[in-house]
This record gives sequence, structure tokens and C-alpha cells, in this order.
Amino acid sequence: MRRILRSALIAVLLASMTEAGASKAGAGEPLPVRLILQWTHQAQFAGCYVALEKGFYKARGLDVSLLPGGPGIAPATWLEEGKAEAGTIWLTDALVARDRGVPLVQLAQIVNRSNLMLVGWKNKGIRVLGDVEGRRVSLWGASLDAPFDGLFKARGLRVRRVPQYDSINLFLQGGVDACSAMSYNEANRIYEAGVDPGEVTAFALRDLGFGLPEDGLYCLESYFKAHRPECEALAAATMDGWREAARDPEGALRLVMRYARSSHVPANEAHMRWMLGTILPSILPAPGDPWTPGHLSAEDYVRAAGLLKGQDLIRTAVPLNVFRPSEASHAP
Amino acid sequence: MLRNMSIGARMSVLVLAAAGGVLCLIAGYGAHRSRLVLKDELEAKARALGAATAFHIEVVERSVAKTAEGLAMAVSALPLQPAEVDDLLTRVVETNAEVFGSAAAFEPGVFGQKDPGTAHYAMARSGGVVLKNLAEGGYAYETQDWYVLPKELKRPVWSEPYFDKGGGDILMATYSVPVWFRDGRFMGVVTCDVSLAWLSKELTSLPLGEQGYAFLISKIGTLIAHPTRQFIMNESIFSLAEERQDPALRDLGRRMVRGESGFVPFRSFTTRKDSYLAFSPIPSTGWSLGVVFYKDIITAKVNALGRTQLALGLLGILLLFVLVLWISRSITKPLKELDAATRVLASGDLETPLSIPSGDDEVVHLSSSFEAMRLDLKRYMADLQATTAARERVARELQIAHNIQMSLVPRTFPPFLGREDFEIFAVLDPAREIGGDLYDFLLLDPFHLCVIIGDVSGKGIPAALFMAVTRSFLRAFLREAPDPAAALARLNDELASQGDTNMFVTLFCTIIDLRTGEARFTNGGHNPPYLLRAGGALESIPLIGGIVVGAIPDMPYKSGAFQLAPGDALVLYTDGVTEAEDRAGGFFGEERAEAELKTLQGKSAEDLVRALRGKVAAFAEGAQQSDDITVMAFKYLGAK
Repeated sequence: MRRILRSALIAVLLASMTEAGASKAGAGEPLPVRLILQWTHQAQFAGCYVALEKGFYKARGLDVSLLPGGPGIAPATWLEEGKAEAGTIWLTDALVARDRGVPLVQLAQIVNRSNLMLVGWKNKGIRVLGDVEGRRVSLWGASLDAPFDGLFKARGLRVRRVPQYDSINLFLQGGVDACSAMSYNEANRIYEAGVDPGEVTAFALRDLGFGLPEDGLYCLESYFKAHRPECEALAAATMDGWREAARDPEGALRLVMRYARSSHVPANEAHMRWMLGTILPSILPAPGDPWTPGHLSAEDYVRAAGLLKGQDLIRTAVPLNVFRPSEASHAP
Repeated sequence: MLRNMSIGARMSVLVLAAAGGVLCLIAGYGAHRSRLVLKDELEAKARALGAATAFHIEVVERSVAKTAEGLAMAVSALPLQPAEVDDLLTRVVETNAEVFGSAAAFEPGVFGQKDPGTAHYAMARSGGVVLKNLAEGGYAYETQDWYVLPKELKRPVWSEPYFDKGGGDILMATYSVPVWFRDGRFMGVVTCDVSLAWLSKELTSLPLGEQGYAFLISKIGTLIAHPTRQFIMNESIFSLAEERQDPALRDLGRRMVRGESGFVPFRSFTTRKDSYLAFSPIPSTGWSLGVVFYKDIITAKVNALGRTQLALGLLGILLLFVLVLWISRSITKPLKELDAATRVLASGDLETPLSIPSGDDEVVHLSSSFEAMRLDLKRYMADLQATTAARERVARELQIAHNIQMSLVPRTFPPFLGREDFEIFAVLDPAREIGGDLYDFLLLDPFHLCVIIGDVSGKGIPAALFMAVTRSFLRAFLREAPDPAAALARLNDELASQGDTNMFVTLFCTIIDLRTGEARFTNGGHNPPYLLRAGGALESIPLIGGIVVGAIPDMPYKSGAFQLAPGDALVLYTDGVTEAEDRAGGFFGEERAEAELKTLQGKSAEDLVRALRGKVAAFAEGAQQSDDITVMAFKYLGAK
């Protein structure tokens, strides 16, 4: 009788220890985390929706609320102003912000492969990259242009830059000869505007040697120091969300559509399916791809910083271990 | 199966099948034609409706565009104070019902280095016109399509429809006119906004009812107005094509955004119903209006028409059926009657005349032929009956004659009971037609036996009667005077005197003294009998001359005599024996008769007769007996 009791007690203890080990942040009340997304709700953030809706955040002791971004919303600013605890930010944006004094730290490098493209009208003579010389090209501006500018500089091309904002209508109306595009978004929007693939020429920057990692998960350094386990849990749960999205893309798509509809963002399933299908391979590597999911390689970091410095967008870059103080989500 | 049906039924079935086939062809062609006509009608209606609606939208948008262009002129021409700009915009919104909002947005920095840019905006609200500066509140007007596009394109532009968050906060489309200073510097943009709510209202007010719907797509295919609200601004015709994996829809979308107009088969986005789509461009905005008509309204109309046609057709077929039945009845009725009549005919009733229908067709001819046949048959039957009656009469006569003949000859053997001094036996086998043999024997007194054999010419009753007369006379004469020659002479005279009967009889008559065996005889033209002596010798009764009896009067008949010894047999016969024919037509003949008789010595009278008769029968081998065959034997046994 006593032995049985003792065995039961040990079993209970072991169980509680295992639980504690798996979720260090799990004890007590879940920590509220506001996660600001860098754009309106769309499949670009499918992993976050899946992590939230499937309870991955909650399981790790996090009470995450997702805040949609959009035109005029800069997540780095929101973090700085304390309107959110975490946010998704482009790597180059994050580096620029850090250089300007916003102490961002990276929790996860979500998109490791570049999705940036340059799309030009064939009927305006854009067939090879050299054809953009002297032509009107719309670009998003600021740090997003760094890879384009790096490319143009490297190839000795001068383009007539036109600001590109939130739509590609200027391109579609023929106001520019080429425009910047995300393979998972604008490239398909052009197609969904009735433009056939044969009518345009698309250049993927990663094919031209100017691909950089893109979306990452960030918070302020101070927040990281105060809530390191929670930050690591947030990164891990987000990556788990992406893995789940890859496992069940249609389920993820349903969530994407729900979020898009609830925030009255124009969205259609065909485009969101395209977006999810295109962005997933840039997050979760196929066999042979050189990156580890969620992890920012030193090489990419140095390359990104070098590109920004070369265009005087930043003066210096902090060491990688400062920029990325945690490798909690390093492990797959 | 058809072969087992009556002509009427077969005709009905075939005619109905043919008529039904023709009807189906006509109905099918009719349905096809009416479908085409209805499609043309629908096309015309859809095109007209589409063009009219597109024109209406175009008019509104042109007026909006004109307003904006007027406004642009004012803004560029006049140096205006901000309050004056607001006043102008307010008036524009107040006086133009179509204009939801109007803006005059100036390029940041145009009014000095520190100018952050201003965007005056007036918009209609339920309470009146509301004014605001779009530059305030984080609304980066200078990044909006309505601002960027005219600026970069350097021409007025209809924006893609958009939900103006922070501006008008409604779904709208904006006509933007770029404005320049006289020196060519870009000043800014003036706009007029059109709410898209009125477009949806406009489209839902189209007289389409349940027959279809209308939708509007923007220059890049985005659905601006559609009965399915979910589609508006979310989907484009191309995203729907992608979603449904429908390349044809994408091609259609490309035609529409290129500003073409047309009428094409279409599958509704939402209901997936087969439809037709008429599309027309709205040139000013580059939008395209689609008017969808469900195909099933055509189908319903065609079906309604088809039902009417079917009902009429069935009615027609029914009438046709009745008509065909009636016609076939009228054709087959005389045939049926003929059939019934011929059955009666076949049963043997030749009395009922066939009714011959009037007219001159095949049935009438057939009926006439049958009637002629009936009459022929009837006549033939009558003839047959008459012939048969005659033949029967002859047969009856023959029978009577035969009966007479057979009743005239003694047929009881032995005829005289207790007489042991002689045997007598005779057979007479009459031929079927020709007859006239007779034999007779009578005891004139206990010691004298008269034996007679003869053959009457002719046949039938006259012959029988002649025989009867002959026998009666002869018996009478012999009883009066037992002298054969005298009796024959008297008989001859009697018979010859009977008139012109042309009948006669051959007769051999002998009277035998039974005590002595002495016999006297006479012969009137008959085959001389044989004497079969007890010792085996065969003799013929000597020929003494004498012609047939009854032919010529006053003829003398001689008497002859022969002697019988006990055991001798007198064998008498008629020419039926010697002239019996075998199958090859050969006669039995006297030689054969004599040869046979020689073998029969010692036999009793009966055995002798039967044996000879047997030989004749064997010779004839069943050949038709052409004459009476009579054999008689008298065997003298001697006085006791």
C-alpha cells in the first residue's frame, strides 16, 4: 500500500516536472502579448493565425492578440511607442530601425528566402534586366529598396524612380515600365488583374544575388530581457504555427480568409491560396535549401547589413548576438 | 409481330409510327428554331439593356468628370484662399447629386518649404456637407492612387474603386484631375468621388427579375457591383477564374477589360447556372458591365412551347389514330365480310350469296371472283348431284336385275332330297354390270330331269326380266311337252314376237332320263357343254346347229341325243368361263377349260364345279370380271 502511494507520488511529480520543462512560461497566468503584423491580414501571416487558433501560443503560456498592420503603420514604431510587445518586421527595416536607435532584437527569422521581384511590361520593352535602364520603375522606398538599389548599382543601371505605395495600379495603368513586387503578392495581383504571364517579365532578386531574408519576429531588447522565456516561446509557437500551416494549408487558408474578412480587407481565396503556397517554401526549407527555419544565418545578416551600409541606409550594425540574443528557436 | 396483327392494326401502327416520327422531327426542329429565335431575342434584349445601362453609368460618370475638370480649371486658374477652396468644394458637392465628395489636394511643399501639404475635402453626409483636411489624421493622401496616378500619368484618371478609409469611408471611385501651375510645376489633384452604392442600386433596378442579374467590373477586373456582396472588391473576374480553374472565364475577363462588347455563353459565378452574358464597356472609366441571362428562361420558354406542341401533336396523333382506324375499318370491313362469307362457302353452304360492295376496287373484284366461284361451285354441285343420282339409279337397277337374276336360279343344293341317282351343282357369279346368265333344272317327272343353261343378251332390268320371261316360258313349255327342241322353238317364237326389244338368249336345254341315262337336247346358240366320261374321256356335246333364241321368229331347233353312263358328268358353262380374262387380256379359252376338266374326273358335281371355278379365278388373278361366270355340273350316278 505504501509502495503504491509512493510510486503514484513520484509519477505525479515527474509529470509536473515534465510539464514545467516543456513550458517554462506555462506557470501562472498567461502573459498578454500584442503582436503587430507588418501588413493587413493575409496569408503572409498564416503561421501566426494557426499558432493562435490552434492554441500553440496558449500552450506556451502566451495570450497573444494579433494586431493588423497596413498603410502608415510601422511595427517598429509601435514597439517603440509601447503599442505592441512584438511585431513582424522586415530584416532590412529592423536593421534600419536599430541603427536609428530603436533597440529591436530578433526572436525569429521567419522568411529566410527572398520573395522580392521586379516585374516589367514586355510591351514596354522590358525583357532583360538591362532594359530597365533609364525607364520609369516604381519602388516601395526606404529599406525595402535596398536589394533593388544594390542590384541596380551592381549592374550599373540607372532607373527613373517613381514611388510605389500600396497599390500596383500605376503599373497596371502603364504609368511605370516596371514595378517592385512580392512573388507571393503583387506578382499574382498582376495576374489577377487579367495580365497574362507572357505579357510581363519577372526578375526574382534572389536569382540575381540580391535576395535577403525578409519577415522576422521582433521585440524591444528591454522586453526580451524581461520576458526572455516568453519571447522564445512566442518564436517557437509561431514557427510551429507555420509548420502546421504547411501540414494543413487548406485549414490555414480558412483561418486567413476569416481574419481577412473580419478586418474587411479585400481578399479572395484564389489569391490567398497563391500567397500561402508561395510564401511557405520561403519559410520552411525544402531538402537542400541552405537555411534552418526561424534562424538567421550570420552570412545573411552580414550581407544585409553590408547592403544597407553600402547605400548609407545604416551607419553600423550591431553584432549578430546582440541583434539575435536568443537562439531558443534555433533548433528545428 | 406486325405480321400477326390485323391489317387495320398494322396500318394504324405504321401510319402512327410514321406520323409520330415526322411529328418528332418537326417538334425537334421547331424547338431548335425557337431556341435560336429566343436566343437572338434574348441577345438583342441583353445587349440593349447592357448598352443602355452602360450608357447611363457613362453619362453619370462623364458629368462627374466634367465637374472635376471644371473644378480643376477653377483651382488652377484662380489663386484661392483655403476658405475659398472649401467653399468651392462644398458647392460642388451640394450641387451635384452624383458627387459624393470632392477634394483639392495640393502637393506638399508647393506653398513653401515647410508646407506639409493640404487636401481639402468636402463630402456629403446626411446632415449636409462636411469638410475636412485629409492631411490630418495620418491619412497619407499623397500615397493614394487617386493622387499618385493622375500625378504620374499626367492626365485625369478614374481610380480603381476603393474603400476610402480615413477619407470618405465608403466604397467609391474617384475621378482625379491633375492641376499644374502656369509654369508647369505640379500643383496637386482635384477629385470628385462617386459612391458605388448607387451603382449597385442601378444594377439591381434593372428589369431582369428572376431571369438574371447584372454585374460591373473595374478596369482590372475587380467586381464593383454584383448581387453577391461578398464578391465586391474581394474578387476579380480573374480571381474567380483562377478559383474555378476556368480559363474561358479569364479570356472573357480580358475581353471585358479591353473594352470589348459581346454576347457569349456564360456560367454564373454564384449559381453556376448556364447563362448568356452580354457585356458592354463604360468607356470613361474603363469598366465593363455584364448582363447575365439564365439559359433556363429560354429553356423554360422552349419547354412551354414544346409542351403546347406536344399536346397538339398528341391530339393530332389521336385524331389521326381515329381516322386511320376508321379508314382501315372501311377498307377491311368488306374484306372481313368476304372472309366470313368464304368461311360459310367453305363450310359447304353455296346458297348464301356474297354481298358485293359497290365500287370498283380490289376488294370488289375479289368479292366478284368469289361470287363467280360460288355460282360455279353450285352449278358443279348440282351437276354432280344429277350425275350421282343417275349413277345410283343405274346401280339400283343393276341391283334389282341382279336380285331378279339370282332369284330365278335355283340355289339350294342338293335340290332334290333323297335322289341318289344323280348330283347337280351350279355356281353363278354375276359380273358387276353385264349380266344375263341363267341356269335351271327341274324334274319333269320323277325320271326325267331337265337341265338348262343360257345367257341373255343385254343387261340390267330388261335383261333380268327377259330372263324371267324366258325361264317361265321354257318351264311352261317343257311341262307341256317334254321336248327341248319344240320348247325352244316355241320359246323363240314367243320371245321374238315380243316386239322390237332386240333381246335374245342363248340356251342349251337337255332332258335326261334318269333311269337310262339317255339324254335329248337342243342348243340355241350356246357353248356346247362337255361330257366328262367316267372313264376319263372328255367329249363335247355334238354341235347340232340352232341360233340364239328370241332373235328371229320361226326358226327350227334340232334335237340331239347323248348317252350318259353312271359316273359320267355333264359340265355346262357360259362364255364367262372361256372368255374370262387375265390381267394381260388373254382369254381362259376352251383348250384350257378342257385340259382342266380332264384332271377333274371322278370328282363330285360340286367339287367339279368349284374346282373349275377356282381355276378360272386363279387365271383371272383378280382382274375385273367382265361377264357372268356360270358353271353347272350334272353327274349321273345311275338308276338305283
